[in-house]
Formats: sequence, C-alpha cells, structure tokens
Amino acid sequence: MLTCDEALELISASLDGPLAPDEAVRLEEHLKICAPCRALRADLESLHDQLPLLNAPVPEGLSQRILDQIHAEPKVVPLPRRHGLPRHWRQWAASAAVFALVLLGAGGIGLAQITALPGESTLSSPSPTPQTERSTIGTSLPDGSGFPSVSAPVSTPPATEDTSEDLPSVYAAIPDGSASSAPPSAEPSPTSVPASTPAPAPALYGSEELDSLPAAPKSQPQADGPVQDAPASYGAQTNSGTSDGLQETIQEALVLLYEEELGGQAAFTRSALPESEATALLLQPIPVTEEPAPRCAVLIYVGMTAEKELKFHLHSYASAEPLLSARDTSYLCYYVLPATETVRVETISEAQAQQEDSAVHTLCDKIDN
Amino acid sequence: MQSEAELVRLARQGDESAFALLVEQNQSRIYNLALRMTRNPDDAAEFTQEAFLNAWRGLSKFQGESSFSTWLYRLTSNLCIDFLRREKRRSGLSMTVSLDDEEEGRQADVPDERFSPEQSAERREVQELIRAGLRSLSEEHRRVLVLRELDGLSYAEIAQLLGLEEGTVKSRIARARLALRKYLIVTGNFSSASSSTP
Repeated sequence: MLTCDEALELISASLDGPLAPDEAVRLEEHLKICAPCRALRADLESLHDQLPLLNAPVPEGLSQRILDQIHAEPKVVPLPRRHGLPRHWRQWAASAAVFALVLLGAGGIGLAQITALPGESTLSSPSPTPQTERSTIGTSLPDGSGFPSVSAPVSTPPATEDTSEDLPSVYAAIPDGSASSAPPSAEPSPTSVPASTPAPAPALYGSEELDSLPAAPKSQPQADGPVQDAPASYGAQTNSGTSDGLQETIQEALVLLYEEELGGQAAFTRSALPESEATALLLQPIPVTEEPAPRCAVLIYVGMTAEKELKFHLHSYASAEPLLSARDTSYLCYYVLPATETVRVETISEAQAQQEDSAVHTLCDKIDN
Repeated sequence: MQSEAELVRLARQGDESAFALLVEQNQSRIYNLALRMTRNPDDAAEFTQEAFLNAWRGLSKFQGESSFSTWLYRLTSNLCIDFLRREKRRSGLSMTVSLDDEEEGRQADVPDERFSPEQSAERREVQELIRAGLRSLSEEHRRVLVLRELDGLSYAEIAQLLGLEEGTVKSRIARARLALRKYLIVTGNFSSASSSTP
C-alpha cells in the first residue's frame, strides 16, 4: 500500500507523463480509499492547468521574423572535423574581407573543372620523373601549366600511384568525367542534387550547369541526398583514380585554413554543397560595412610544391553591385606543410592568378544566381 | 512527427524547415524566459530572435550533450543576463532587477502580470494569487516548478539545466506543487475537499 507521501510523488509524476502500469494501478488503489489524496490530485491538476496561463503569448510574427533572418543567412552546413592534420597554425593576416565558405562539390566538379583552361598542357599521364613533375608544379604556377586540364583525358588511372607523395596521382585523381577511363556512370549526380538537398546547390549550379559537367567517375551515395550524407561521405569517396590520402589531407588543410586562418577574425558561416572530391572551398563574404563586399572568393588547392607543401590560392572577388558578375581583387597564396604544421602565405599578382581564373569566375557568377 | 534530435540533425545540414519546427516548439518558452528576465516585451522579442539566430549559426558547435531545448534555454538566459548586467552598470541603480540575488531570482521566475493575456477579472485574480504563491516558495521549489510548468521542460532537461539527478527533480517538483497548493489553501483560495493536507 502506498503512503500518502508516495502517492504525492505519483500524482505529481502523472501530471508530467504517463505512469508505469504498476504505479498507475497502485495509485488508483490508494486514491480509492484516501479522500485527502483525491483532493490533492484535484488541486494539483488544477494548478497544472493554471500555471502555463501565466505565460504571455508570443508576439505575432516573431517566428516569421526569425525564419526570415535565418533564411537571409548564408547557408550553413558544418564541415566535419577531420583528424590527422594538427591544429596549430601560425596566425597570418588574412585578407580584410569577411568570408563565408561554400564547400564545392556537386558530383563531377573537382579541381580539374575549376582550374583548367582550354589547351593547357596536361599532367594526365603519369610522369616517369616525379621529381620533374614536382618542380614543374612549383615553378609553373605563373604560366598556369601546372594545372590539370579537363580537355586531356586521364587515360591511366594511377593504379601504380597511390601514395600522396606521388604528384601525378594528384592530378589524375581529380575527377575528370571526360576521362575515358571513368566507370560508365552515366547518371549525372546533379539529378540527385536539386531533388534531395536543402543546400543552395540547386541555385548555385542549376541543373543545366551540372549536366554539362562530366559525370562523376564513380557512383556516389548521392541518391540519398548528398547533404544528409555529407558528414559520412565527405572525404571518404574514392574512385579509380583518387588518392584518398592526399584528398583527405587537402580537405583537412582547407578546413583548417578556414578555421584557423580565415575564421578567427570574424563571423563566418560556411555552406556546403553536395560534395564529391572537393579540393576547393568557395567563399561567400558577409558584408560588415555598407560598402560593397567581395562577392565571393575561392580557396583552391592548386598543387604541391617541390617541398611537399600543399599550395592554396585564395581569390577574392569584388562586385560593384549585388548579383552582378565579379571582379578580381586580391590573391593570397597559402602554403601548407602538413608534416610540420607550418603555414606561409604569399601575395601573388593578378597576372599570376589570371591563368586559373576563368573557371573560378564562372563559379562565382553562379553564386549570384 | 520528428524527434528533436532528428530535427537538429537536419537543421545542422542547413534544413531551414526543420529549424522552423524547432523555433515553433521552443519560441514560447524562450520568449517567456526572456520576458521574465527583461520585463520588457520588445527586449524579450529581440532576445528571442537573437537567441534563435545564434542557435542557427552555432548549430555546428552544438554537441548534443544536452537537449537542444536546454542548450537554447541556456543561450537565451546568458544573453539576457549579459544585457541586464550592462543595463545595471549603465544605470547605476537597479531598474527592473533588484540588487538582491534572491530577489533577482524571484523576479526572473515569476511572470509579470502586465504581460499576461487578456482575460476576465476573476481569472486575473486567480493568477495573481498563483503568482504570489510562486513568490512564496523557496528558490529551489520555485525554480523547478517554473521550468516544468511555465517553460515546459522535461525532468531530464531540468536535470541537465540545474545539474541535478532526474530523481531529485521529480521529487522536488512534487514538493513544490504541494507547497504551492498549501499556500493557496492557507490564504483561503483553494477550496480543498479535505482540511487534512497530506
């Protein structure tokens, strides 16, 4: 038999949720024979109904204002923290603009598509002399010949080259749908993009843009909705040509450059698109003053130097008015050496960076739409 | 109906409609918390908006160690506390918030009658009595009762918020209810069927 004290607790608990069946039975039995507890229950039930009425109603339109404000925010998706790259980076003065990041990635968009210029020489075939390749990369930046080209088919998936040290595999690794070696995945990943993702990918790319891109060289788990899969599949994708280790290192470096170098100074948000082998980050600035802010920026992996540094370019684009096409402003170049956790930064001239620009411009223009 | 955890998961990936549901589920308690603390509907609305915006922006930092509601609740409370401290410093006197800590707690826990919705005189009278009853409670009792009955937090969420065991929360709420009822009986405002109170 319950005591009245025990009954009090059960009565109180029953106001907040269902009792366990045995508790409910015991309580009912007690109440049958205890008038004071019946009165108690009636009073507590009354209080339970009355107390919430002390609350004020939420002002009309408040939730809509909240949602509008959130909608106006640059789209946010958390980038997963990757283990592996150390967390300590020297602080560098980043560019003055405030950026938000967009993670590139609808299927098929990789470094090749972003940075290639028509007619560029290609590194598609594995070089017999890795040393030569690396030094080419280190010095070729000004004339752009170090960049992989979409136009040249990656004929040989580097089955023999799967170490991150091996430079040719880096470029062969970039998804290049024009590659004849690509698995016959005719299904363009963009079909899953507009339907399944809440991220701004559809707006950013548009199905026609994606359709024109080479199909992803592998089947990716995008049917489920790339954004939902983002945490799981980010960095974990492979295709016949990708060097997972390097891919992951690049992505980690991107995230950490963002978080440590660019993210420290001001409020950033990051956006993510359905991802594939993303080797670049597209940045969207949050205007902090009344002046026109840079419209977008790109942090791209551009290669590996002879000293095994991962090299990234940061291009920022200004726009005179919102939603118009962008104009280049400044270029920072980050060299990241994963092994020793060092970062150094250089400013490169507009001419130097011109080479890789056209595809990047296109990408920034798409953001405006 | 999706669980809160599921909505949070979707919202973290940028799903605004999932976050909209979270707003809907939490806006009343957040607004009323801010209103109790600031005693000003405009400020309360502003802080509610700011709290949700901060929550949206900071979703990636939300680890899921507590419920989203609890996390949001703390966020809002901190926003309001910061604001009140700034106001205190600026004005040099206590404006809406007393210098006395216990009094502060009492004020922040008991809703202001000025802002309650329109209703009959009789009902307002009952509510004023309930308010008086809340003020008469010990801080421990008042705190858990407000969190449960006005803010609608679960035992688990209250436990997280206050750093207590759930069992403690459960029995404390029962005691608080009893104490409030006793106050109302003693002041002659509850017609209880029996005079012998357990």
